Amino acid sequence: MSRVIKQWPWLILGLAVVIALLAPLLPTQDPYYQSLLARNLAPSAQHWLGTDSFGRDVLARLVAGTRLTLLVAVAATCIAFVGGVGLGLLGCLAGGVTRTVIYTGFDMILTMPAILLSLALMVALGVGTGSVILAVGIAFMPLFAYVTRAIHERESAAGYVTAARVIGVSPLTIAWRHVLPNAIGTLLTQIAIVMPRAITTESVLSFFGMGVAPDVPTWGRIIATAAGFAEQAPLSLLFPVLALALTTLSLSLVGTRLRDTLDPLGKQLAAGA
Amino acid sequence: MHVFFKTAPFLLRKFLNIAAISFIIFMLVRAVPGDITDYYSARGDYDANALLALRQQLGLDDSLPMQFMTWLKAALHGDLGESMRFGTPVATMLRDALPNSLLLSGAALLFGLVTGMSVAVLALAFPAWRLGKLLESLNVWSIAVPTFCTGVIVILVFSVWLRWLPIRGQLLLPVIILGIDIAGQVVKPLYEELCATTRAPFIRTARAKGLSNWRIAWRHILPNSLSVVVAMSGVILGGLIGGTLTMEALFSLPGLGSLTLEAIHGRDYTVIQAAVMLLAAFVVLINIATAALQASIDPRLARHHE
Amino acid sequence: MSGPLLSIRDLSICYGDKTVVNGISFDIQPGEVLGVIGESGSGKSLTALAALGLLPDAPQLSGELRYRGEDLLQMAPTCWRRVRGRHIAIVFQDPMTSLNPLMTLGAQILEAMPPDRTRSREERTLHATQLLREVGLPEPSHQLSRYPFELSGGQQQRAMIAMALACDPQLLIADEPTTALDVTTQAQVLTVLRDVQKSRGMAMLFISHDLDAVLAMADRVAVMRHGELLEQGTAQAIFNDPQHAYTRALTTAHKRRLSGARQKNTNNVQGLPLPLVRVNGVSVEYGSGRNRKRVLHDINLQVAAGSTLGIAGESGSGKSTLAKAIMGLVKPATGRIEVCRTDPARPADRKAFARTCQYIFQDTAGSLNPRHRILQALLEAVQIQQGGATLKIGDLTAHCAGLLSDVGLDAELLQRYPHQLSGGQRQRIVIARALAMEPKVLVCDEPVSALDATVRHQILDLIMEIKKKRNLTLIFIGHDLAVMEDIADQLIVMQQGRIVEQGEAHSLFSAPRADYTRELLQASHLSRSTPLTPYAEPCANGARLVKLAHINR
Repeated sequence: MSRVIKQWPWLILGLAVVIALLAPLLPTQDPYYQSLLARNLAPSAQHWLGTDSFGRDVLARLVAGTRLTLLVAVAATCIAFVGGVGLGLLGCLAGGVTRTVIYTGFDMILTMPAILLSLALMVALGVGTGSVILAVGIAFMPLFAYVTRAIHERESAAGYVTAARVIGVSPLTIAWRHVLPNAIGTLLTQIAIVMPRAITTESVLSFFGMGVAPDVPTWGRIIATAAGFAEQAPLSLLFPVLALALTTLSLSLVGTRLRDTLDPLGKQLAAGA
Repeated sequence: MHVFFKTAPFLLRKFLNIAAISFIIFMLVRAVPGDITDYYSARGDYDANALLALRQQLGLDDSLPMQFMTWLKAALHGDLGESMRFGTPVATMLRDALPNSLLLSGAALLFGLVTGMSVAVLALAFPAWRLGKLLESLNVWSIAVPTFCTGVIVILVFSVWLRWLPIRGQLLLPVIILGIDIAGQVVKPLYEELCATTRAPFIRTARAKGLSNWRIAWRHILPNSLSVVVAMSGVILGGLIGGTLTMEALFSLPGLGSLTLEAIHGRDYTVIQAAVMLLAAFVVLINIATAALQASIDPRLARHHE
Repeated sequence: MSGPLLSIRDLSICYGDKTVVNGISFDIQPGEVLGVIGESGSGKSLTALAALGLLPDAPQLSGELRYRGEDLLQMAPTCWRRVRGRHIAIVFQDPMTSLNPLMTLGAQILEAMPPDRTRSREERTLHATQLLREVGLPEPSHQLSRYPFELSGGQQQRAMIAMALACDPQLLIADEPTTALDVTTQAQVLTVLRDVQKSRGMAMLFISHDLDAVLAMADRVAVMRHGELLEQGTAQAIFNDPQHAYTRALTTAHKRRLSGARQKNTNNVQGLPLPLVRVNGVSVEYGSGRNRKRVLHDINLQVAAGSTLGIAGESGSGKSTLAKAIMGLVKPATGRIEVCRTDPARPADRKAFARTCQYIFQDTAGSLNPRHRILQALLEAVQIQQGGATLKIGDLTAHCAGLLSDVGLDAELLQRYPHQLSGGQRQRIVIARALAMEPKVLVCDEPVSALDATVRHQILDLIMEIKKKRNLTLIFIGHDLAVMEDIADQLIVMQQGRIVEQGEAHSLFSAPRADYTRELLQASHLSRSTPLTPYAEPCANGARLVKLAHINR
């Protein structure tokens, strides 16, 4: 039993994913239904966790929030991955001016803290779920680009890659047979590192009202609504905060464990970045 | 100091950085459909003719690059325009808000660095105290959990439940929350760097020379490990900026953060432009200062910058 | 005082249940040089660290280690500071990492001196300058304010020696002091050590894996292997009359180098041999924009079919770059290269070129993918060599087994991973993989430099045997002229990207024309009793100091 408890990050993560996937099917109330009469109610048989300041069922919003928050984070991480690895690879393989231009661009993005950059992007794009996904995705592209470059440099210098070239193996086969298996570990770890940061960034943006639309129940948004009524309805504040904290915590721990097993290169990168 | 470090190409690149970022932010801000006049018309203050005149007066009908040049010229003279909502000079608003934010972030940074470095050094010097677990938890918490979560929990515990401190207007809780966040970010890399340096060959040489443990720690281990803290300044800065914004919002403190957020909600371009620019310039300045600091700590970098 | 300076009796060092040093005993008399020879894992460095109480990770120690009669192992831990640096000093292997990168040399040397109220800072700085002069660093007073990274490897090691001498120790331990350095620099640093030892009358414990260096430096020699002390005696006795089988293996390999007894490969090509490899006016540049550097300048050479070309040089000479250019891995900026009438950088068919010219690496571990089994590594080559022919997997496996037996390995190694094999086995596999392509030309880039001495000549014998059997054309690259003496028909000596001397191997060896060739020759035969001719130490501002050095026996 204690061995199971030691793996608690995986458990919490699993729980979150399951809830996220099943959310539309679960028999909760409508998370968008407002009732001015039922505002800030304590937990009851009808509302297991009470209601918030708009009369919406807290539990329902929490469940929907799990799905939406994770969805936004996954989508943003995908955009960061595709953009970062794609452009990074292009820069590395093309070399010369293309490489300088691409990586200088990423340098500039990286000088700005992710929060500031996504804030600026959100001001331009306007509030909304799509915009948040795009803004957060762009903010984290440089991380994937740098990992791609590090992998490229490591593998180009690797003796066995040179040996394969000398034998006459075609570059494509070399990439598939030698480079990719070593690269996958590093990339997976990077995904596991970026995703909790994506969740956090979206939550902060939504908390400030610069993220998803006001009634969309991602955890950041729920916390923002509930924060103003901390004294009247502390539970409506406590649960989303706990959900956010535990999920990001679990994701981070899973990420570091992955990195320790799969990928010593990532450790050096994290220390340097 | 290090003359070869401040070479023209380096500074030029940094200036281009600020210029490019400010232009991009300018474009982003102005790219929003709808502008201040919509805000006014929604409030019903002006009629159609007055709105038109307002647009011309504010120069909103010029092309975007044109608007940027106008703004840039004025900015270089210290004139950052006037708030579109209140008509007060933006420079004054910034000047009033800035000290509060600087106080909060400065105090938090100091507290965080001192705490983080102390815990790391103590963990190394007194392994018997088993500070490793504390270190690890602190680090994971501050990386994973956003400051506003911690802030909310602290408010719930200390202000709502225990009623020890009021929610609004006090600096103590925000400084501690932000400080611990920074300490958590710094403590683990510093500890690992200290451990790694202790195992380095030149420490073995120092021992072979018969030096005292004290001298080895002060003169050999610590200076060689501090560079990792300086290298983290980018990450720390990011957390500091986001954290200051959050704390000002949660604890209703007057400062740059609240100023920016209110301006965003009110579509007050001039204020948003100036505030975000200020933050961006600040970030770049810190980057330059960090690079200079790194070069002065490690002479190898002074010769091979970039 | 009478009696030995350092006396070790039955010293054992254990980490848990692993015994890394097992009951060794030896003495060092005052003013005597004891050389300890052993390969990696012999425990020789750990013995040295034990004498200073610097063993890592707190092992269990037993036995006696007496310095001037006092048993250091029984001492209170705080008393070590009295001994370290003051009585016993040590010079480590890699000076770059053994010096604090953030402190100036002067600060580090001053720090090593004993705390002394009677001397002012100026006096101590003067002493530091004198120490740097003693070890042969040019402009000693300027060097004090320099940082380690500003110095070359040889200069850094001299600085480390100066630092060790700061307290006038009675015993100097030198733990592989020259292993990390270039060959010619090695000779210079060893000369410094010997001079310093003689002029101060210090005792020295000289540790190395290089028998040549040990015989050049030591009065008495001890041989260690796997934590045991196999035998000890005077250098002459060990050299002429080794008792233990292992010692015999070491000295035999060494003597063969000296006497050139290896079977000279007779050139079995009749008539005018055709040049298979032609290099005309080739230059290679690295980097781009501001950082563009020319690493090879105007190289011209030819290799006749069936002959062996030796390319000798140190790091920075460009020899590896030349090898890569011949293999087509780098493109020359100027000139032409022709291998079997093909341009290696732009072959019509890369696979066809791979079947003419192959490459043996220095880094055995790096050139095999750690995730692939040996069978996979060999199959990759065999499949290309077979071209389109589809063979059954069973036939392919048998073919690979055949390749392994050609290099003297057992077929069962096919299922192993690289990290499970020794350095020598890996190098044989790299050779097997190269041979799988059935090349006509074989380029070997320092193939034995990373191997232990006893394994080295086995691999060299293997290469020569293969060359004869398959009538290959061999291009052999290395820094050890003693090895080339036996192998090469033609020889090229390179320095800093240029050819310094080239010609018939045996005429070069008997009558070298260039100074640098002479330096290289001397560096590879340190223990020969002929006195060295004057050689030059290039110093920072370009002027050359000439220093006479004799290594006496």
